[in-house]
Amino acid sequence: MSLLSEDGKKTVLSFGDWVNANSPEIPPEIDYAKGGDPKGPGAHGHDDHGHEDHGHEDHGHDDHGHEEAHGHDGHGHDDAHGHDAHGEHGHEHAHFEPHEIVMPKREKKPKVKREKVQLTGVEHSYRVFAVISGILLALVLLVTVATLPRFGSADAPAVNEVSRRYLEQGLTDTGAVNAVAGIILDYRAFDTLGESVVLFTATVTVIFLLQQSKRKNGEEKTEDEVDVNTGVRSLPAKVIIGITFPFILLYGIYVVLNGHLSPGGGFSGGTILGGGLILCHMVNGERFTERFITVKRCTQIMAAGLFVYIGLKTYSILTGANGAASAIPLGTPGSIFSAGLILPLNICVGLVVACTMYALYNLFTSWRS
Amino acid sequence: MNLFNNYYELAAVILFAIGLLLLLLQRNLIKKIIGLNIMDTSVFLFLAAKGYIAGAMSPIIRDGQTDASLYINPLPSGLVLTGIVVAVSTTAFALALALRWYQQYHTLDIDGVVLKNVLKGEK
Repeated sequence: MSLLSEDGKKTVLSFGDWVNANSPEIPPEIDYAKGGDPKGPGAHGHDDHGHEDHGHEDHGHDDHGHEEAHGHDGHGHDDAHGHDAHGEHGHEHAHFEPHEIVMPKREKKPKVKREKVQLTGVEHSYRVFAVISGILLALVLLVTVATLPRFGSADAPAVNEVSRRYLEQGLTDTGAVNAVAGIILDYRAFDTLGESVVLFTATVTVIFLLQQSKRKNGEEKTEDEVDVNTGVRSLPAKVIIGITFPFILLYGIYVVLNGHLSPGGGFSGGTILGGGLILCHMVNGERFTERFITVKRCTQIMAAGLFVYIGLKTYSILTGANGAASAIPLGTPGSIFSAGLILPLNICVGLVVACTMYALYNLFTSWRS
Repeated sequence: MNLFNNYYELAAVILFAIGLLLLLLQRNLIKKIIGLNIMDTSVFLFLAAKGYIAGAMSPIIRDGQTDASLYINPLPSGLVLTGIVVAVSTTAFALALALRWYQQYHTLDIDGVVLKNVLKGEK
């Protein structure tokens, strides 16, 4: 992606240009800002080429091989065009016959002018103030760290009666051998419900933000999009993923189901499951994974998981918290069917987390500007 | 003075300062989000370090021994879990907003666009 390659620190799109960027009648001239260019006068020499038509302009700049012109090519266009520019840049260097290369796509979109932004006085003082305040904050925090009790000391104030209560009574209260699982899914289950809702809300918001643009111009297929649909063109990668994918899922399910017995649980196991799905999507492409999971199904699974969580926890709050007899046995500590509701709650959380991970990856990779 | 004995907390503070300065000084939106994530990570490191007790075991009850002095503090682990989930959610939301920003302005430079708007307003 050309997003990160954009060096926003040095060059900036001018205000009028992104307004004009989508209008077809933009004059083909390129105006570079005069002066203030740290890369020397070479970049400005291109003003001579600036009055030719578009295709020649590109070649003229690439022929000279200035990074300035190269970066310029990538920015005014969408991602696919940016990739073209990157790919053919090196090619032109090798042959020095730039006019042979035909890039018809570039003529569609108008050029976007870029100019240097001088640091204004306000911005300069902002940066100085930011550095000073950051260093001051770090110094205050360092003094605090210096007065904290020694790392790993057993008599630190953090080790108080609250944590002792969780460790001493946790096994009889919740039946979970893993004290952390007992805390997050029994004592603080309402908090974990909130976390799962936060994940669900984030996924829904990302769907709302990114699928809107997908609908607008969904018909044009770029090279990236083909890659997303069919995966990588590497047979060894496909074979290795075909072999390991079931085991990744199996390990994720193991971690989810043993959340009350060993380190792990819904969050870590769900992340492993989601990672496996992401790997499968990366290698085999969306056309393969959409047979068994899509973003829509992810949201359905997440909603179902949340509703099951709410239902189970409502029952336990109404009975157990009121001191009434609960039909859910705590079981013998250490066996797989123990710890009351923690096992089903872990499964719900694991489903929510796995679907969040996969849905977010799918949405971000299938997004096109 | 335990500044150099508390090396986990020291690293957390340094990471926090790095993340904060990235957030304040970088003009690229993606780099700002990376700075925010580094700050998140430093807080998790700090919390996880506060829960540790030297020589104690992980908080998984072994052989029915419920003596609290045998195990580390389980509470910070649960809190870090909450923090990680919220950090993932906010990062996803911020990245989606950054993509929409890029779609609108064709640049990730947030300061430049805001500055241009301000300058245009003054003219």
